[in-house]
Amino acid sequence: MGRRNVTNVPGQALALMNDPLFHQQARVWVDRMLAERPVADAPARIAWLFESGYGRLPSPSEVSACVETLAELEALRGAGTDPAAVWADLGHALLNANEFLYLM
Amino acid sequence: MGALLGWDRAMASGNALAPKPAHAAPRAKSVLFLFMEGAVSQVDSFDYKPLLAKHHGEDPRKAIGQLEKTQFENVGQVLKSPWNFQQHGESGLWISDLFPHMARHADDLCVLRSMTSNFPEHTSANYFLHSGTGLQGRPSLGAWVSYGLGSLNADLPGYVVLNGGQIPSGGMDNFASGFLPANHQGSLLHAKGTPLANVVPSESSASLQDTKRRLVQRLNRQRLEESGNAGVLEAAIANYELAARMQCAIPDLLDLSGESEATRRLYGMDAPYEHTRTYARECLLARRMVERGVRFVELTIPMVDGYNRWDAHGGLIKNHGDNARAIDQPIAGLLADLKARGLLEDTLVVWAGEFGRTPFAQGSDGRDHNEFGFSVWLAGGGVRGGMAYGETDDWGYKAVVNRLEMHDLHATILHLLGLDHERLTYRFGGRDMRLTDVRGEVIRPILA
Repeated sequence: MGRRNVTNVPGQALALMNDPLFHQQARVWVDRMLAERPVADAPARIAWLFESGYGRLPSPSEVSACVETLAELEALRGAGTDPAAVWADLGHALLNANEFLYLM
Repeated sequence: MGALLGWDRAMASGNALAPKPAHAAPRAKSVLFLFMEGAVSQVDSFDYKPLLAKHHGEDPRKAIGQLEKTQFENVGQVLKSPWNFQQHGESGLWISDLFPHMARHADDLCVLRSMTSNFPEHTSANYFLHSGTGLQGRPSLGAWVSYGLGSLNADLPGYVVLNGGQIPSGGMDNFASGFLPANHQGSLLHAKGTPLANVVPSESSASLQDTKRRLVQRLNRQRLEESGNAGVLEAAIANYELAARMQCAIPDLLDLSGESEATRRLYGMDAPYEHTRTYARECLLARRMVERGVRFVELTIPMVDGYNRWDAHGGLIKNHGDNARAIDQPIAGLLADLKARGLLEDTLVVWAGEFGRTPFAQGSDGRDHNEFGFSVWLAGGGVRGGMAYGETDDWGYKAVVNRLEMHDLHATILHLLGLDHERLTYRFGGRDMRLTDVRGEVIRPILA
């Protein structure tokens, strides 16, 4: 009987964290979301990302984790930052979460 | 880069890389595997056979007798070594002047002169040397060690391959975890150029990355609480956190600015030959990894002779001469430095290729593959120095006294690390699999 092991090594995690490709794809992803949800509030946009990325809607606690993170990212990037860049940061984090990487 | 998942927590959560107790008191904590890919000629290095000079130029089928099939079947004459042999150290170990620097450490070396392999061809023989099986896809020795003992450093992988330029025949599968959990697979670090892809944080500030990572962590934890598949998710989380910490640990490892001029010179970092400098860097990094508790460090050789490695089917003098020039001083420097720092006693250094070479020529000036008898050596970590174990016949052709198999070498390496090769198992395909399959004897006479 086959046993499926974790097929990840640090090199893969580093690629997800730092490879320009994943930053780029996060940006492409959130640009699509912003085009499709131009006037929606943050929870609705987060729901769009979860649905298109994970195939399900976020739980209330996941929404609040994302909303809090968005505020932190905004503060770190400073006033006048392109909102799309902040959303791309969030998208990049979502691509790094286990749920994006693993079949549950 | 704050460690979000502390090592104590990793241990408590059953992290696969957390340190584990050995089966018995270990003699060595770490292994440095100096992989001499392509196959070094035993009769030109550590196995002195004066009879070759006496019968030099004769038909080996008459002088030696019936020969085994060789890979290229282009059998020339009996070929004496172009290098002179001398006895070295108090032990009087015979070493050729191919390795003048290593020869000064004769009293630290334990030469196994009766090693054999089951395969006469590089890829299978590389797999056999690494994994105890001549097939692709089995766990490598380093992966077994990482699996058996875990890591002593929370910020670096348990099995690191320092790449000098050559990826061995058989490719990355030589360093594979096979059926063992993937986090035991060898992580490749390049000695030249970019050491590790994507190890430099891509965010404009560390706090930006930290903020993202905290979200990843929160989301992962929430899923973990909802999921029954805790082991897999824990391993994935731990892997992600290891990668995050490596962003600091790898640059720190690679920063040689704290090493003295004397140390750099000892290894040959200032050598005129480019490949000596590359291997010197590998050996120095290897010592730094041992200091940091990496369990198993493997070094591949630099691109000395294109893709020919030690594989001297022709032009033996240039091939072996250049390869030796690249590795000799750095290895001697490594042994001296480990010893001076008190690290050699619990570090096992293993110098081995996948097979040996024929005592008769291939064509006029090469040697073909020979799996019937060849030399490897061990130093440090619980082995007796200044000794030779086993013998080949008078020609250096076939092992005849205390003949050894790869499984014996593997069993011995595990033993020195405190692991019983019969008890280090992993259930796969309905069997408790072992590195040594159903074979392997610890080579007890070489134990210190």
